Amino acid sequence: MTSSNPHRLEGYLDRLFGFAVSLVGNREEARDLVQDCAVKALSARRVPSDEPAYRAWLFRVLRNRFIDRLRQNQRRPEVAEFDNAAELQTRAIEPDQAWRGDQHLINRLTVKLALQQLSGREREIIALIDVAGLTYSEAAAVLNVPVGTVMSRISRARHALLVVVNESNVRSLPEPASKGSRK
Amino acid sequence: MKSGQPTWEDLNAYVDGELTDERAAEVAAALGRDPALADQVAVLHRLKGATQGLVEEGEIDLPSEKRLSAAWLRSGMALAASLAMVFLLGGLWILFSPPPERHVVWATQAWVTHAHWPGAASDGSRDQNGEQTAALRLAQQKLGPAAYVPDLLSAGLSLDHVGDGPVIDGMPSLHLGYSGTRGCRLSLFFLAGSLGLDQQMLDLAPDTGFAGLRQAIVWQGGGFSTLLLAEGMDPLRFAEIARRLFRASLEQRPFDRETRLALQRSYAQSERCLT
Repeated sequence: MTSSNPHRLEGYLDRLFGFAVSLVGNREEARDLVQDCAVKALSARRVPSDEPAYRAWLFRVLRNRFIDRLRQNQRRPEVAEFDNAAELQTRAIEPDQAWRGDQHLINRLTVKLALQQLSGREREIIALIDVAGLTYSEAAAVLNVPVGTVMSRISRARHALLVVVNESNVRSLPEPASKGSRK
Repeated sequence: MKSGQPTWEDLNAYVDGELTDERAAEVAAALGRDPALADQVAVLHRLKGATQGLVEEGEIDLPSEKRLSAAWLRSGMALAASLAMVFLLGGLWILFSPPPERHVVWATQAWVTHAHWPGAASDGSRDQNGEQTAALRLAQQKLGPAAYVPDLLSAGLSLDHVGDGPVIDGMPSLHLGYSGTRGCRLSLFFLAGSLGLDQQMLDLAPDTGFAGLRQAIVWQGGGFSTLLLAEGMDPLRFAEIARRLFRASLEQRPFDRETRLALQRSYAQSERCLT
């Protein structure tokens, strides 16, 4: 255990922000949530010295602050969504069912819009793995679930994301090189 | 991937670099054979790349000194205010609020006992057999002949404290304090009586202010109400200990070899405790 260090925390701010945006859905509130988390982290008398443990601890602090805020605002259905006691009930997929669609639909814009249509828990796992860059075991520590659950959640959540991307009517602008070949 | 074609989960884990080398090689070989699978992996790479691209750098700064100072001030003022409120409103609260559930009261009081027990770090030099025997004698005096003292050495935890736990509705409880070598402290409370719980583990963390790093699980079984507390323990390790203790308490028998091995495994795979 070591004491809190602003420079160490600074390296994680962008990723904490990405995670916060995924949780709350708007940048202003996310910014405030990260600041709240940073105050808490910098006020801690002792923090984990080991880097992966520190990283997981930071994201857990942010997640707990988020859930505390939901509770304070009496947003019980949303709190329940982040409750690990009930396993994720989401668009069910068969174990070997793969997504079949046009991969050219996948870009930052379509993904950003599609993420907003996922459940809180689906957004959360995608944010932890892809936005925050945590490993499965680090995400498991943040969420207080087994690694196998993380593996299952991320694959289901990505499938759900792909389904939404595929069903959306947002399309990329044509690539400049292919412009001429289209009508 | 168990055998045969990789599943969607395998492909996701492959893209995330979460498979063992051996499994990753199996998936890579399958991708070489099956263009449809290779397309799926390409989709996942593209999706991951697009999601990673959503993070914008430099959009957020550390909190200002002003905000940090305000937080410190707020916490000091909040402490003072809450002490005042305790005195002012305590009586009213007792008069008008519905009583909290008894297991919640127990857990809340037990947390204070847990927090104040010093929990000497275990160095393996203590006579665990002697401690265990003395603790068992005390437990049986306090709670009756059915009382028992779990041996958690296989979970990397040594017994180093036996004492009184909170009394709930006139029922005494026993506190067993266990320490590990990596900053872990775990408390086990037994209460000789029923608190109206079912024979299943109840995670108290979400409902009783045990947020953050605090961990609390309570259950009924084997003639006792049992409460397990820790702080900042690797959640998988804590859950494994709780599950094994729960099962042993229902079956009313000591840990078998398989249980000890499982506890050893979860200990070996766990991180040190956060406090």
